[in-house]
Amino acid sequence: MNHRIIAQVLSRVMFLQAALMLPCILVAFHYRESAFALAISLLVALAFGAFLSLFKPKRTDLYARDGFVSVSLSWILMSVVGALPFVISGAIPSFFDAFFETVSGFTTTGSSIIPNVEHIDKSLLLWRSTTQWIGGMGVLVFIMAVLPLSDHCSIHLMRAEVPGPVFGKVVPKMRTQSAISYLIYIGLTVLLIIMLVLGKMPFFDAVNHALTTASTGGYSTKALSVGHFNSAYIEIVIGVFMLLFGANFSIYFLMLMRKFKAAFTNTEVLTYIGLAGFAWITIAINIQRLYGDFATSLRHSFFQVSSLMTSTGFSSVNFDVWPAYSKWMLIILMFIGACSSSTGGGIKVSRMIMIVKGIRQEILKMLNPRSTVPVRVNGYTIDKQTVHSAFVFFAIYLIVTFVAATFVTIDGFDAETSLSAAVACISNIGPGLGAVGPAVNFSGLSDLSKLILSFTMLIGRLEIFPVFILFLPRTWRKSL
Amino acid sequence: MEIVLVGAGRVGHAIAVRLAEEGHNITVVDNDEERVEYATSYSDVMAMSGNGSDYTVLINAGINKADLIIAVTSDDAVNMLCCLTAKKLGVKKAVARVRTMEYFRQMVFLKDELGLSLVFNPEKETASEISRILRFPSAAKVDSFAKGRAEMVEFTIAEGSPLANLPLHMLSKKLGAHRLLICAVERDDEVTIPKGDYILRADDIVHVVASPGQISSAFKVWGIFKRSVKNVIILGGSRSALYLGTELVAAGIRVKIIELDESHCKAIKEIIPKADVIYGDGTNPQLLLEEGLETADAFVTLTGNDQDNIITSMFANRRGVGTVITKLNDEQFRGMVDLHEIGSVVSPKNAAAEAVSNYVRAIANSLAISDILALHKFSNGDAEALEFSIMHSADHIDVPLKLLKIRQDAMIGAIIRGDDCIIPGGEDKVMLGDTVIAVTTRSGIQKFDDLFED
Repeated sequence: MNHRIIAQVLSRVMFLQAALMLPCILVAFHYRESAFALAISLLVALAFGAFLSLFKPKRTDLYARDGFVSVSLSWILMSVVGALPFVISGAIPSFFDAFFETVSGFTTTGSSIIPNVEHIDKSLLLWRSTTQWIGGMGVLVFIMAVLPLSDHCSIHLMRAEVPGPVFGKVVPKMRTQSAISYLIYIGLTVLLIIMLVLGKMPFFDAVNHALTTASTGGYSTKALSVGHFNSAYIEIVIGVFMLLFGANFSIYFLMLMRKFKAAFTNTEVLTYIGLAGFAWITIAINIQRLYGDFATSLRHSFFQVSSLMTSTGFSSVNFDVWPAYSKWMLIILMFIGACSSSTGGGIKVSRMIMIVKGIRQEILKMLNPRSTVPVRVNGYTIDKQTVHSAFVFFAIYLIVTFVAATFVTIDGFDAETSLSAAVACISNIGPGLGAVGPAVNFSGLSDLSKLILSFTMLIGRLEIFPVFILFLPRTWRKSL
Repeated sequence: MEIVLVGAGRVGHAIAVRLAEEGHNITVVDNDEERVEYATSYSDVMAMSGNGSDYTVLINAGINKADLIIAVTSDDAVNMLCCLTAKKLGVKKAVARVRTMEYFRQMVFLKDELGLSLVFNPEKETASEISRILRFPSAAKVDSFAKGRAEMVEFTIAEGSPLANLPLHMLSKKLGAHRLLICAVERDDEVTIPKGDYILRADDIVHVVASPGQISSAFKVWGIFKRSVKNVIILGGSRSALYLGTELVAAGIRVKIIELDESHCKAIKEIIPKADVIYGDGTNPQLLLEEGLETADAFVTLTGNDQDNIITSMFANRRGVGTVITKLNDEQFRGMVDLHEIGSVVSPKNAAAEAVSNYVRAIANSLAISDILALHKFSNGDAEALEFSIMHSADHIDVPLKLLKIRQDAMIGAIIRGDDCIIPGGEDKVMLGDTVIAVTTRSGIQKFDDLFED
């Protein structure tokens, strides 16, 4: 393994983190809050970055294994250093809590252990939202766009960080691709800020909500989340934007390249919209008794479906009191998640399509063993290996969820709470049901559960394998 | 530039890697999923699977906006069809690999009637590279610049040579008019651009740039001149062997080709009637000795099998053949053998990639993106020799070189003005219209001005 190039990657990640803390410090000055904790953390990040940059790489080659290891180490190191502002300022005194909060930020989960966010300094709230924004599109994707390492091997970093069953390039140069992704991301974020300010949301809240909507993270600056504003306009705007950020970003590339037909016939995006539409209408019918008129039910159903399917985790109402069908439907949506190459989490719609078509293929093969039944998506035949990987991914996803839920049950929570907490973490949603529902938070869990769930979030965000590779002794062995 | 590359085999991959490193946007098309996967993993390109001569595939690869299509699939006809289709779809320039001798002879027709901008043939490029080495038998490698007006020659300093233990600033005093600039020295796998106080040692690999005439006369004075090659044994009757044989026979050199397949032997004799064609297994040492290996001036291994080429070259080297040249198709064996034992190494893949990237550079040069006309990498790619054409006025021309601060890791080896090749001293200056050959250990230089510190 090329340890020195990994050190270079980590060093750049640290410098980026220091740069991201800077706006928060300015906000602290603006609101006359103490910038001490953020400033110390910035210096720590700089010191780490400078120290790691001392290891000059002798070779610039970076293989698949180095890519996986650098990405997961980057995320863990970022979360540790990112937790410092909360610990030093005393906002979250326990390190485990602060680590949970930060991992939940970077992985765009949005599960919180803070009882009332309105008591936290605004600069720290902005830091929380910033972690989500950069985690949404990816830290290394950003570094690729600004400070690329060696050109030809950076694809291994992108593969490990960008979610989805296959990583495809849409332009020849890695650097161009990262830059365009971020430009689309920044553009949509700015548009959302403007739309929210137009809806009479205060500027600071608009920026924070835009940052956490773009990343489908779901951290809010209000205890009641988006429900605080009680505005149909804001809910619709955020609801629509969540769906936009949960869609496969390659369709925006295609639109930029004026290939509208290809953009609008993308199977994954169509399936994603179809699923969301189905859940929206059926849940609205199901909850009509609670809200009286159908229009209000449609409004709440739309926001909640969009929020949970895209793995954002905002809430406009306490959906924990909804009837069983609605809650169950939401859990299914949480599992499926958003599209690949989006900022959303979950198993991803494209994998579900492959799995369903793979099952169909198996059944047809049973009926007629000699027939040729390819798995076709978007008009292209999917490689057998890719379909196989989707099945494996699905299985491991379920196993990790159940194992994580088991740890939560040790704390004495019921099955609904434990399972939904695990799903909410692995799919990077945020709130679950029961004792971790939208009206409560994760602070009641033990330190062990918090640590387990923190890693579950990382496993979900980096799509399982990069994190597992870290724990494989073989990865670290020097000899064969 | 926007480039579509059809075919991601050995040659295609080598071309993709080089051009991507030079900053071009490349879309690779191949019908083999695995090769497509490999291409995206090991070079910064976009790859898609599909048949490169298919209209829709080319459209998807963005052919209508591309500047160049390069077709290097294994099938000549497919390559030509790709280029033809791409031309109709609006690509500006088309390059095809054509290996079949019959097609290649119709080069003029292909270029004029089919509108191909460059037709290249890796086997023929390899053959020319070998014949350049054979003309300088004391050199291990010869690269040509400025249409042959200058050459870069690589040779090893032998034990007891007048160059050994000589500081460079003494070189010109001792050798007088026959001075040459030593542009780069490889010692213990490291390349240096030597300065005046550098002391040469035996076993150093030295690179010099000058006109062919200057090099021959200097080599005579330096006492590293080997007698010219009069007879050559070629092992294997591959396509490159046919091109090489034809070239050598035309230059009056006696050629003996050893080929394993009887009917192919007859075909070779048809094409090169003047060559001795031997039917037999050239990996058999007894046969090689019987065919006069020990009296041959040069031994060239051109079979399709790298292992056979390496082993027989080692044998020839041990039997004291003066010049041994080994063809390696794959890079993988290069790191496994001691290069001294197999003489000069040529690789069709690299020769082809070099030809294509030189052509791409010439286009970039005409668009004023860069000043570089040709680029040869040497010593495992750690150093490069660059040919600049000074077409536009620049900050560093018309000034005597001694007044300029050239980078520590670069050196100007030769200035070509008209038909003259000037070995530059402090008083010389670069003028508009010149061609400059520079050597550097720094990669990524695009402009002549990049060679200087300020």
